[in-house]
Amino acid sequence: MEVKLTGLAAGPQPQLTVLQDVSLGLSSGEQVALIGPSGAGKTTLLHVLGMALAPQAGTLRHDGRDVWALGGAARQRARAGVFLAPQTPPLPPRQRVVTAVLAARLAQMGLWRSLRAWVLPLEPALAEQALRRFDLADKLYERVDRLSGGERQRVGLARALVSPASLWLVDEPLSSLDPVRARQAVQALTAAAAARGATLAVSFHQVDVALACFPRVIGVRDGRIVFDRASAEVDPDSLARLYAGDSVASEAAPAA
Amino acid sequence: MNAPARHHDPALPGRLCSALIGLAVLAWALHLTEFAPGVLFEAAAQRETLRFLASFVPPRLDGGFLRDVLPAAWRTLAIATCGVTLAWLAAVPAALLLTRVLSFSALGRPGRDSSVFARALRTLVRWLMVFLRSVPELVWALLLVRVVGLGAAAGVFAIAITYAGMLAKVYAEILESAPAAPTLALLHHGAGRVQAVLFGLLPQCADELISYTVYRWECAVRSSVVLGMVGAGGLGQMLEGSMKMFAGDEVATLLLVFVLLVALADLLSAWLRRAWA
Repeated sequence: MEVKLTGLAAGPQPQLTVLQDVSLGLSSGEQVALIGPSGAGKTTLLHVLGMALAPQAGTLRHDGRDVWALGGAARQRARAGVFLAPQTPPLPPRQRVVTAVLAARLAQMGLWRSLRAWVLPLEPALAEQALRRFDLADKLYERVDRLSGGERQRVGLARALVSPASLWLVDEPLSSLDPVRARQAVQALTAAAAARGATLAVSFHQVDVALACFPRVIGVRDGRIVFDRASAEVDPDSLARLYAGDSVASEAAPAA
Repeated sequence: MNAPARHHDPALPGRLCSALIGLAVLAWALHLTEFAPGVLFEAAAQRETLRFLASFVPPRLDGGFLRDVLPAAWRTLAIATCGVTLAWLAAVPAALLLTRVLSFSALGRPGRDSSVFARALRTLVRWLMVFLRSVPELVWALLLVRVVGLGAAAGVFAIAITYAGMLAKVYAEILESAPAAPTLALLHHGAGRVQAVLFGLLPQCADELISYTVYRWECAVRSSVVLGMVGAGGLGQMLEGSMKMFAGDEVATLLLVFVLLVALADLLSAWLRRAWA
């Protein structure tokens, strides 16, 4: 999916504006990483891109369509094209993993099929395939509340793989993963998005992962885009400016 | 060392005052209800009560009477079950309409309410539900007896009407108290409202919903006993007859059956909750 954001102002509450004057374009199948200090507005930006948050000003176009100008029903249909994975995986604790993963397919299922899927999962093989990419195939019939935090986060990512969406937006997928698992998870995600031709935007605190795994990196600070360039052209100086005054994050950033 | 200065708690007069007002209101309420516990201890009344209570033992358990009790108990259960089922059918859509998380027009607009139309509809449904449950089922039954005549149907409809209001209100409150994130995530992925309920809300709320529904069914069993007294049939009608004839042994048997029915509801609730969890 092609995404175009122009003159955006947005915030999680009507009185609160976090993002100011943000314009951004993603071409179809592109993969970008969003980096920046905590509270910079990365989450808000992802929510706006995914239609989970209406802009206070500016327009969002998905494949050229102004999605907030659509009627309610048409907008809900358009949402089937978007997958947004929040930082805390939104999985009901008492649901089984297989059901939780396949719930990402509801938009294309229709009411009758989803009623059947509620009684018995319809395409468990699909869920298993997606979970295998994240090393979780053995947890297929486990309940969500029996999983560890890291496992839950990867189940949340596996949802993207089964969804019909062509725009994947992932908010800090690595916050409860160890470094090895983190690399693995990001590679699974980028490979699957590339195979599908899905547009992928992921926010990170791990600058090294962002630079290594994504061809394009966008730096966000104080609600504005500070830089937007190929990851090969991201120099230590601009990273230092991005995280200036944010000591914890600058330690996380590579020294060179 | 000085003796500590005497402290006057600034809250004291206020608290004393509200306690006195509370006592005064209670005394007035007792007067209004002609509550006189002395009556319980008057010799004549005691003798009468004891004689009636003594006739409770042993309960009447002969085959002839039980053959009357069992169909009556079955009828009572049937009235309660049909009533609650009808109430449930009306309460579920109403509860979904009342649940704000499922609002499409508020989706993606935190801090903003739904559209004017959605809010008007929700207010309408809420008032309708308040109206349904504010009239006691006994009153509905007395009204309905004039429409559908004496019999179980009046009881079924009376329970259905009142309980629809109660179920819808509490269902909506249970659904709203669950964390919204899973539901919102599904709606953000383009799922419909019913799908979001099945896959987002129900897995979080099923326990409470089941337990409240079974509890309401238990209440309906009790309530259908009362409705029986005004002509809906079943155990209530038998109880009224036995009371009028001061047949203590029959009253004792009927009371035992009530206890059994409520215990049955309790078992059912526990079993359903275990089966789901």
